[in-house]
Amino acid sequence: MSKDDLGRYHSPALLIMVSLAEGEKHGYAIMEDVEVMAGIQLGPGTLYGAISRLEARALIEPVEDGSRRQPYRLTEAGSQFLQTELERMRSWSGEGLRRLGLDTV
Amino acid sequence: MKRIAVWLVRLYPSVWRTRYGDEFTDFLEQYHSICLRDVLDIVIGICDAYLYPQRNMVMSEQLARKESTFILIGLCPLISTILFIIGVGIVSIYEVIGLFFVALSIVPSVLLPFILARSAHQRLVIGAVSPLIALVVGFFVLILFNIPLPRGLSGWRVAEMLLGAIGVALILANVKDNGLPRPLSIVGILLGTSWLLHHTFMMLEVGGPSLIPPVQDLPSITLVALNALGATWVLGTFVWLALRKRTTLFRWGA
Repeated sequence: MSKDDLGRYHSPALLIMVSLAEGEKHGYAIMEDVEVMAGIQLGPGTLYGAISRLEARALIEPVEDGSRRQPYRLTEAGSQFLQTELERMRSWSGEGLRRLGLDTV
Repeated sequence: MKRIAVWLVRLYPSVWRTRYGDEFTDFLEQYHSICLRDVLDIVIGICDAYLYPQRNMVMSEQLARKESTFILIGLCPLISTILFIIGVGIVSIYEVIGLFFVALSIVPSVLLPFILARSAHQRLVIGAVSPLIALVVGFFVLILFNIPLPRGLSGWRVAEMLLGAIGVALILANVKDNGLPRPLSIVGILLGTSWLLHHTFMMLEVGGPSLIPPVQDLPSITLVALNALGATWVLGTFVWLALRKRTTLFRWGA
């Protein structure tokens, strides 16, 4: 799964997946968690655009509980994808800090 | 604002609403304060849902095409009509800028279908229908408010603009998918190219029968450049396609 598959929803999708990494949540809870965690407010259209893409790619799945507030959770493929993406980001952010002379490692 | 946001959910594709409609409505009702930015975000989300339907949305290709054609047929004439009315409205004060807007009103009908549509058929329908709607609605507004027509914009001229726009739409449909019948393609090339050339020469001859552009203002130079670029692109593309044998248009024996 390449990042291009998610298009302009790549960053919102990653934030949603990070939020779901600690457990299942519904849309509103995801939005609040992302705002607290990253200081980014996902718009309603962006949030559900990203959710529909993640679900279509089987990176997240709905949890059947019969309520209107549909909770979602990460799938196995989603966990692997998130891990790969976060490691990739850590790699280039480390390189960026090193080039700025800010890396202490 | 929340009411508007909840109402906008109705504009999502039916298949999207079937899957996410209830939970999205519930999500919006929980929302503490919906601002204009959120409403715009929903509008972008609606366009996205039409243009990039996801695999988990069970919808036939035909139905998806119908829905996106419907929204594009609404979008293109709307933009065209606004530009047309602005142009005619200001033409008595700023003649060149006004005419520039009138000419520009054709652009959404030609460019948007090419960028947004998903098939040759869809481009053809949108390209043909949207300029017609824009002109009819535009003229209705002009008559309603008794706005005089700009100089040189007669009924024949409008018909020529309309035919030209349809011609360009035909060309664009053919270039991208190469799926149109040959006679239709030839008509398209003739109509579209002559339209672009005509507008180029018309602009070049402002102030006298000279081929030197009137470099007195930016709008006329931009319009000349756009039209010249369009004509070059149309002719160049077809020469390139013919040389690469990528179009059935020149395969007379086929």
